Amino acid sequence: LRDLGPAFADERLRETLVNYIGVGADSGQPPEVRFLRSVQNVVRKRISIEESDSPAVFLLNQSRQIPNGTRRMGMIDNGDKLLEGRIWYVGPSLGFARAIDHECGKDDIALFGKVVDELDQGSTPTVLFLPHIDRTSVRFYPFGLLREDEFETLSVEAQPVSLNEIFVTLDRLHEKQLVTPNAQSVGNKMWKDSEKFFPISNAELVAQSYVETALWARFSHCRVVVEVSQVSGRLDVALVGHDISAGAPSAPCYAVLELKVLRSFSEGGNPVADLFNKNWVKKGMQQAFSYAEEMRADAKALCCFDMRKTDTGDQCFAHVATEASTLNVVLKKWHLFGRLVDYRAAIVNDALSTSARQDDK
Amino acid sequence: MVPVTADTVHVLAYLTDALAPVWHLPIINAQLLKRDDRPFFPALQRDLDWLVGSGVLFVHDFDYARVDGEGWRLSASYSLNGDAARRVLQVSSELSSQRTTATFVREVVLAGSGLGDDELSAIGDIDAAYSSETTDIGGVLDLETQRGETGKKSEVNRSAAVAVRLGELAGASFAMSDAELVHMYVRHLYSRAHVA
Repeated sequence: LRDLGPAFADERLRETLVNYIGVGADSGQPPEVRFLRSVQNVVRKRISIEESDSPAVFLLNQSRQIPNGTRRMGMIDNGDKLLEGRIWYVGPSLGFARAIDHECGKDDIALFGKVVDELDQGSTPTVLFLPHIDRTSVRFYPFGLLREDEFETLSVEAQPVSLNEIFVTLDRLHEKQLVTPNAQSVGNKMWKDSEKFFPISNAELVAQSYVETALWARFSHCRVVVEVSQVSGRLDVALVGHDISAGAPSAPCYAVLELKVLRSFSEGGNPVADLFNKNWVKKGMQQAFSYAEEMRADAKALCCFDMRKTDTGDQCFAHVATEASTLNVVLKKWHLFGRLVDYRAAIVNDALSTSARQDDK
Repeated sequence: MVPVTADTVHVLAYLTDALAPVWHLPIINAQLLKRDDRPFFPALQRDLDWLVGSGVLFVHDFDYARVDGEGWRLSASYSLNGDAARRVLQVSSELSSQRTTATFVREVVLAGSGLGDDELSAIGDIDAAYSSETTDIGGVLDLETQRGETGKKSEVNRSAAVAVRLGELAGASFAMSDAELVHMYVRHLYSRAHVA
């Protein structure tokens, strides 16, 4: 590249890398996830630039129409455009945007009214940046501002990620998208026949796709790497940061996750022995440790999705608990109910137990 | 968001061809006439005209414009006819051989959509392959066998080479995806246009 001149010299290319690192990394994810991450990443670049404290509204515009009265703004993800005081129509990545000044100041009620009633965008996935309240977070309304109570507040600060934060994300994933066959997406089920407790043969791969998307959506300053070949084998999932603090990109690995599915039956209905599941857990624990060592990860975990007929709690880890503790491999499992009747019974039991504990106190 | 000018369509088609080696995809129009402002593909324009005639594309802002040294040329903007285009896109998405190509084109368009009129009209000066001095205006630019100043033939054209270099500079720990390389390259062009 030497003969391309200074515009393509390594120093110039590094400047671009530092300014835009992570853009496009989430190309395999749904538009809503890319939109949310893109907005968080540009807001992060503007945290310390306090030009205005009027809210900014970002609307995921998937229509082919140009919104009336808007003007075109190129490459807003470079962080040099004033975001505040504007309503932005953007795509999954923030290369292209159109904006209008909302002229509502800090009047949130007027702003909601403008988006919902005047612009008719009440059902559009929306991110709000409210600098008069907090410059370090955004609110994500996946169903739009019409459902004003259904939002999630997400930090835009690029902090190292702990295993606990990852587990909070996976707990939520389990609760909303995995716990019962009904919760799972129509085209992405982990069950072949849930009433008979038959998982599909590639249930681990499906679980991985859910985990991957949940992590992409939650940690905007990270990339999720999957199926990476290493000397010690092929790791399932790793969460890697985008650190540009040294003026050049570096990629600290916050966590390595090994995913395993525990089964009572195969996809074809053949019983799976307890010994097989025990060995599966042990293998997973060893994989989590080896892959994390090679990646120099801050933390490592074996994450089991338990699709067995009966939930036996953490008993499935008893035979490896001591070794895992010594090796600092965290063991975590989530039960996936095959039958709704079992799920309902479990939540009733939980509620009764909680109530009894409170009575005891 | 639409409508999209014909010039934009041609620039996006050019970037798609120039960056196709990054995704290990074939270049559709590897040889093109180097004009003094921006790329233009006669075959693509014929396809656009055909799609208009077939009802897949709508035409907006139909006009004619003077082109230096070439006389007058018709200009227009285009938008998709939703119903007709949806059927084409549906079939295309079901063909496994087209899936990677469709994903690649989508990423080029998403990245290229950040280029405004200023950057698009400067593409001939800022794109690594197109601005190469080894091909004069009026000469044939070959995106498959582009040679450097030393006359040595490179494995990929200069635009793709820059994209690959960006990945190398990011380092193995990042393992930048092909999509990232496309976005990063186009953003480098944007930065270049604004520095210049």
